[in-house]
Amino acid sequence: MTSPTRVVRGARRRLVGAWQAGLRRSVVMLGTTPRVAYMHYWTLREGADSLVAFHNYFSLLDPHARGPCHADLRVYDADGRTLATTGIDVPARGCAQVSVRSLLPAAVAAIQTEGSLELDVLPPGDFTHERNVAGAFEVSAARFFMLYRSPAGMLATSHCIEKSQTYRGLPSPLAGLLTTRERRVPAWRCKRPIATRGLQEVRVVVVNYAESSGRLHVALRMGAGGPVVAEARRTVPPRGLLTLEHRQGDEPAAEFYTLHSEGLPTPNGKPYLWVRYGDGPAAMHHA
Amino acid sequence: MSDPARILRDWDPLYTRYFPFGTLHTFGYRTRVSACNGSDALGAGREALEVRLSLFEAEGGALLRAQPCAVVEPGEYWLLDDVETFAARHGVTGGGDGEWLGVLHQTPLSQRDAAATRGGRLDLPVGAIAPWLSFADDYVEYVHESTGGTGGVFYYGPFLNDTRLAPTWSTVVQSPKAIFDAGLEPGLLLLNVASDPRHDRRALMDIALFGTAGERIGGGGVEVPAFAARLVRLRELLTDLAYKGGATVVAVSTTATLIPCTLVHDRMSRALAIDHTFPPASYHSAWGQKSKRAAWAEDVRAKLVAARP
Repeated sequence: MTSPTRVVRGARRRLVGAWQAGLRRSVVMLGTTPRVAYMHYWTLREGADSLVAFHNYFSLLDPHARGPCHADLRVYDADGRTLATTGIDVPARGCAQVSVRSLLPAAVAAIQTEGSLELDVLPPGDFTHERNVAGAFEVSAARFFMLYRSPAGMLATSHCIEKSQTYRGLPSPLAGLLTTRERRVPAWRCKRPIATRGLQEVRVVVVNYAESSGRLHVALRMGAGGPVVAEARRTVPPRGLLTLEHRQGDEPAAEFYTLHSEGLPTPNGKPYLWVRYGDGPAAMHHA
Repeated sequence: MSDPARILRDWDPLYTRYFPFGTLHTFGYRTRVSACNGSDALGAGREALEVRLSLFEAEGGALLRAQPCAVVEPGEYWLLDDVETFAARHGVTGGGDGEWLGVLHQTPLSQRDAAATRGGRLDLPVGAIAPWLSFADDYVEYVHESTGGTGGVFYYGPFLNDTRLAPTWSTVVQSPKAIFDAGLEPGLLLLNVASDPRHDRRALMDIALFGTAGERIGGGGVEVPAFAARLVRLRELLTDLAYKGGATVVAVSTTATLIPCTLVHDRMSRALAIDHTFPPASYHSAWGQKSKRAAWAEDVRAKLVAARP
């Protein structure tokens, strides 16, 4: 039996889908290729630096392109407020590994030790491409990686997983109406069991990649879905962070932990998971 | 994705859902792998998975053939904390030089049972296999026992190097996260694996390194046999061994598809930054067509990678 709520939600989804498809056709008629910015997490905790690693991928997709691409990087604090913005030109075949620490005044970096960021990359003027099929809606996407490194020997990386809500490179009425992603994820659990043998510390960071504030939740559980070991929940502004910390104590033995959330703010807004084993450096990947 | 009605003849259900991974013994890590049966998300398609492990030595010879490990129910997880100890318990003690390729087979019980009466093979539509690729990535983690240094990466084993699905297979790697610095060892871990166990094509990969300004700073090549893993130490490809700074790795194979992971290993702390790369369609949707990509891969190899200054 289908509930009336599900019927209404389904109808609304189909209506939104048709509306977005119509907008995409308008974009194709304009002959433009929109861009998608991607977002990520940065940290300066424990003396670390975060490097935003990206390259002039346009010059590889089109080996004839010789011009530089231009990137716009925006850095936010843990509450989603803008801390810094910068523009970087990257030559053909070149790359950038932009230090977040270098973008912040020392006094700011001493207080603001983590947050989120957003990268948008514009193609070189001589970049060309053929559409897959006539009338196809095509986009370029600012895919990049973060490298985290500390003087104490921490070294980790994670690729960007979530995109910004709005397309770039479109005229204003379309840019405001067309969205890159859909609704929030109702419930989520990580696909990775977190091994507990030798585990000392777990730190989980969830970024609110949505355009509005939301109540974020994350829980660390014993086994696949056992008792809660640690939990965090709070209302987080757009681009702000929710963090959860757990130091391993005398918990009953479990071979592994798993991460759960009652709802992610965006479809691919999975948490970032820091773990530390033995006396080793912290390691990080998305969960 | 191929037409879901297309029939795959002689399908080996060990490859319906599989997770290939390479070891990093060269840097002193042991290997931890895990599987999650996310089929509870498939609704009526939910089903238990039988997990088995195969290991291959550096030339592609089998060290361990589909050794049973566990049956994982929908929504459940399975963790193998130490692949090397598991291998030793099953008589694999050496394995020669170089890295091992591991394949964690995750077979739906219905396919396992149906294949058991048909010589281990089935004729299946793509639509019976594709959902098993869709629900989850798997995770491999590298553990340095004495220091506690770790690093890991999520990905999955898709249809690869399977002539039942496409006549040509190629790979273009582009990764801007190599760092050449005192104490750091950047590398490229390559897996030549297939969803068809009859796969026997060697991958010939050309590699170029570009500095931050786009200048070519090194290059070389590597051959990866079928069902084998190779670790390429990128420092050995530098023209000037004293180069310091960031770099982009661009690499092309047009003889087979490889699963590439780029990594940076800290020789002191044993921390490991490892991640997969993005396929070209992730950067621009116009590069989504497979036939177009094959021609493009040849173009990139000729104009950027194989070219010498």
